[in-house]
Amino acid sequence: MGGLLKMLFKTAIRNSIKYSRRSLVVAICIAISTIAMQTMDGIGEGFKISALRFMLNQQGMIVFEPAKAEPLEFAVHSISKYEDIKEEILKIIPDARISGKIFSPAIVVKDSFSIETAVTSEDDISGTIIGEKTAKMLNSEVGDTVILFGSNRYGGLSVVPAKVESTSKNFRSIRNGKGIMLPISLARMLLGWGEQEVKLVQINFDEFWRADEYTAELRGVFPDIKITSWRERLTNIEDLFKVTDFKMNTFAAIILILVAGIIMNTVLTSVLERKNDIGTLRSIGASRIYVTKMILLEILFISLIGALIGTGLSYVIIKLLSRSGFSLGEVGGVIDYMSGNLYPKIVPLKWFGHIVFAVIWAVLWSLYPVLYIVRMKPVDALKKTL
Amino acid sequence: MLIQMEKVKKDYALGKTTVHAVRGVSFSIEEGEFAVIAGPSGSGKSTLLNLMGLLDVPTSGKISFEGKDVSSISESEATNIRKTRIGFVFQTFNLIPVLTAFENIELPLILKGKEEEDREERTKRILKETGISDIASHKPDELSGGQRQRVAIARALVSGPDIVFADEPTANLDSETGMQIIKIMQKLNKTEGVTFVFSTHDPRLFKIAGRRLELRDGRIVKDVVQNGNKK
Repeated sequence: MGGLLKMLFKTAIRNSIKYSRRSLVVAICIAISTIAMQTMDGIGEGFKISALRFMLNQQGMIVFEPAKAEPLEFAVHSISKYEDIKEEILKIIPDARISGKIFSPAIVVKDSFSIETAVTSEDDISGTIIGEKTAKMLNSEVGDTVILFGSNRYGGLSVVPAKVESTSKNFRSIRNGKGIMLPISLARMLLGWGEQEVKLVQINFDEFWRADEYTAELRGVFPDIKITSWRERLTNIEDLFKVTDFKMNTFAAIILILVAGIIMNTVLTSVLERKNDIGTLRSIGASRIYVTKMILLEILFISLIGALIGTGLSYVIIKLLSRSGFSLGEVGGVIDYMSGNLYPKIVPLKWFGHIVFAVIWAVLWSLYPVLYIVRMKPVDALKKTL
Repeated sequence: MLIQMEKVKKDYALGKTTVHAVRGVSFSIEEGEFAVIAGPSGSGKSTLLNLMGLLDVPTSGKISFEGKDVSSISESEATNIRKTRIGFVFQTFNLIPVLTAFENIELPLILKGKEEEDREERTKRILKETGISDIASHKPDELSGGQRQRVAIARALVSGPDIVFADEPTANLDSETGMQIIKIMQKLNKTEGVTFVFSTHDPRLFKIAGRRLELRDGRIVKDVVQNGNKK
């Protein structure tokens, strides 16, 4: 058995060297396939991380909300003792970036113009910012004072004057230029809330994958507050990634299909060139299985070398791309989820999977030529012509 | 009786026409025979050898190997018989180009599953018997035609087959080398008792054989036992 295996390996390796041109074609095909799979995966992984970071920074990796949240009682339920909560959070997540937010509807009035608008506020906003469209509709400019009418906690009417410090076309929640963003003290005044009250606490940190772990810990500390991690809230984010994966995989699949044709053709030519040798082997008692193993082992050897070369090149490509990053902003659809540059990422286990897949792919597409030749009667294989 | 051919026919389709390569031949080969199948090109010599060697299947008729009908056995059974009982020598030597002479000769023993020690001992012995010990590490493309054919004979004999079929083994050799090859085969036939059946259209070789089967247009036209051999 050892002798048989040794002979199979010996013949496979020597044949791959003897028929070097064909071996090179197969190896190049597999190297290209591996590069396609691995670079697409690297870009895809980079995209996922960039998109995820961006989305989470917008929406919060962990969110605190009041345990009760009735839509019509937006002014009633709040999170109190915000500053104390911040301190406790920082004990658990030292690198946490914490932001208190308030949302409410209001009517904003300037002179004889009035519109219903969405009011937003974060604890880092120092002056009133009004959306461009809202400003246009109110005929308002920077420096003007607008009056906001809202409903306070007790069901009464609250009136808050706000001096417009700037306008914005697209500033965070002021989507499409609508809405108004207030300093948090004014927002509290509008809702009739105390100094340490907020509607929502958003927490971001570097290790976003630890969100569930932190959430569990925070729930222990704040049992009366509704705390959710991004995984619990953004359940459809996987769908976004599936779309990305699909796009990347489609590109790799096109290359794989092209490569499959070349491999099959090359192996067919190669086995037909060696038809006489195969006929000889069969005539001296080599079984069909022996010949099949011999040729497939050769393909396996060549494709493994091709896949390893491809992996080396993919590594260089990904490293070069991730050094400065590159913008995918102009590629269709991507800009919605992205900001800044994309940094491709290597996932070693997946890359190992690509190597295995590339080798299996080569062997799979070599099966037809191999089966064609081994099914041939020995006498036909020994003939000089087809 | 080693091989028995009964009304064996072999037809080939060549485009739209059918070629009758072998037309109902009947004869038998006994153990230890040194038989030559003579005839001009296209007379069906190679086809007959391929049929006897289980490389091909007959269109009709019966081929028996040691009394067992092998005309319609499965490919794996035929492979097994070829591996254990039959040796082949081809006109164009048919050595595996990526293997050395030693490895080419050793290959049938590996296929038979022999132990390394046994393989080495047998291969060295046959290399010596065929006078090619000095070229054991050479690859086929480094050998002369005569040397290649000796390697091919050694490969055919190394596993101790019952019968060796040689298809025009001297056709690609000069007359002197060709004669040397036949002499080696003759010697091995006498000393080892191996049955040889070879095809040729070289008249000089007819005389050496113990039996001469003459083939014309796929038919045996003469079956002569000579040189004091018994049929």
